[in-house]
Amino acid sequence: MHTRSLFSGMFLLVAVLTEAAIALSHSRESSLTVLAHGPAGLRIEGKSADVLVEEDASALTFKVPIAPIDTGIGLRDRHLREMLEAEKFPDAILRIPLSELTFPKERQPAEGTAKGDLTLRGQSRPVEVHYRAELAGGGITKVQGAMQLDMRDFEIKSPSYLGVTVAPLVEVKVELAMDGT
Amino acid sequence: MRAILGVVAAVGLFSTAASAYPTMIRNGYTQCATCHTDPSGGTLLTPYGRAQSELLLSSRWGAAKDAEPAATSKFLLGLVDPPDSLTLGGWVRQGYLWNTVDGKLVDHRELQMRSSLAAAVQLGPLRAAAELGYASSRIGQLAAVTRNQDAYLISREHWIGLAFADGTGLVRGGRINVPFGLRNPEHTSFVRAATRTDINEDQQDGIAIAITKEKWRAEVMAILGNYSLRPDAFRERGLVGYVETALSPTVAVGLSALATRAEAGLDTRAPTLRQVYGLTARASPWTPLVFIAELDALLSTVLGNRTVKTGLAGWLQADLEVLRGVHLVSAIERLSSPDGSTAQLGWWGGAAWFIVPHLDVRADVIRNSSLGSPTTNTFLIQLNCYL
Repeated sequence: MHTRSLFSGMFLLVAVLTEAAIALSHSRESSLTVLAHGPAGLRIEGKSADVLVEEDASALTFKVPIAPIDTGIGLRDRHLREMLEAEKFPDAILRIPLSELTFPKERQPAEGTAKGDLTLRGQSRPVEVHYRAELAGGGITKVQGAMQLDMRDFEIKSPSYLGVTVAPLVEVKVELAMDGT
Repeated sequence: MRAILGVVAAVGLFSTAASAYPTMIRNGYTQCATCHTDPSGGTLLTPYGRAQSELLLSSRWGAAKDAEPAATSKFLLGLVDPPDSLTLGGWVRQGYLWNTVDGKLVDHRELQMRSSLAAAVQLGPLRAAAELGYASSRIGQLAAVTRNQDAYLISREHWIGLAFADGTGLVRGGRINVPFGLRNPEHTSFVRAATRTDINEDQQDGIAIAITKEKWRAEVMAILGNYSLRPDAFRERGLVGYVETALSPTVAVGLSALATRAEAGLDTRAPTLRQVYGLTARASPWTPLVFIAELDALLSTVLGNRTVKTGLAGWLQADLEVLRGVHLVSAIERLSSPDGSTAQLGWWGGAAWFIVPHLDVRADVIRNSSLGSPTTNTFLIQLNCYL
């Protein structure tokens, strides 16, 4: 019974980020939350402040390093890294075409669902990300994004540890404050 | 004399502090069922619970932050490896206490607090658990399964049930911990003693249904009486239950209610309806610090005499983990009993050290005062081992 990773569960996520879209360049502040669920009301929450955003002519790319994700228990973090093979695939990457995004205007937030591609543990799959973006003044755009992942889509077996198995569906939420509009 | 009697009574109550840690909310655990075989917590640890005990409770002694739990954290140091369907555990708790009244030592003694083994079985949806132990004095007599006056075999819990709804629900029957209030280990605290809901010996026989969800948990029990208590007239029968909701991963609030009737109330010796309504709260504003609180309204009615006597019991505790595994614990409590006795004020101060997995020591000072009576101080030191 044993086994690892439960927790790991979380995980997944990563990718997540994804969030929203918006054409911005650098993330000033960012927070990533990955929420996994287990039996009997078990809730596993992983957090990271490392979300990198890059923009090219056709898409926004969100990159989340796996290693810094903190679930509150060191062993659980390790299980997460092992499950996602973080040494081999250190980042979860979400790429969203600019054409999928609506950008906010003054006093006119943008909200919608964008299709993108998430690469996790070396596997790329199409995903949908719900996002909301608004101009916050001072050249800052605030973005919130959320998505749900199914670990099975990425050929990840639901983590199980000492009789506790994590559900395959994982929620990912991201909040970003970015320079640019 | 009254104070001395109070001390003696307190000594009698100081038996087992069980292994219930509502302060685990500091780690985001608002629920109990993942770590305990009892969905409302406080008893046998599941394999996952054993691991969390080492990973989150104990001093680490240089172990890597991400190291797996040691094999010795398993039952009997890993010498016995039960099948997945069987969970085994046990407790050995010894203590020593000193009591003073107005600064004068009036009593000191060694306490055999808990010596018991427990097992739980999980076969498909079937769940069962039982604990069997030994008590060398009147301590634990409300859980006795034998009638010897000098020593007892005791069974705090023994039940069988069925899990449903993917394991989030459990219906069971047998001797069960009363689902009310905080399941705090300080079972002599006013909120546990006055409500008769401690997990040392206040279990009741009955049928209970528990639901555990991510954001809330609840358990309701039909109390059929404590069949370790004789004669039958003293047995309370009625309903009890709680519901607790998690406002966040580190904040939870709850409501509890209890209504029982006995042909002979333990305090009134007459047909009595006893009601208790409680509010609970647990919060960890900062991971090392946890506050837990409970406020209970106590109502006692002698049937046929429509007078309702009321009282209040309250508990506010702070737990500060100053070093990994080392906790400073302090609490204030107050009791106004429905029996009309003078209100009591209590203060607890102490420290607990979870030295290695499943072995801890705890030292407490409990100061109790009431108007017109001398102040009593109890100094208690305990060594607890979970097998």
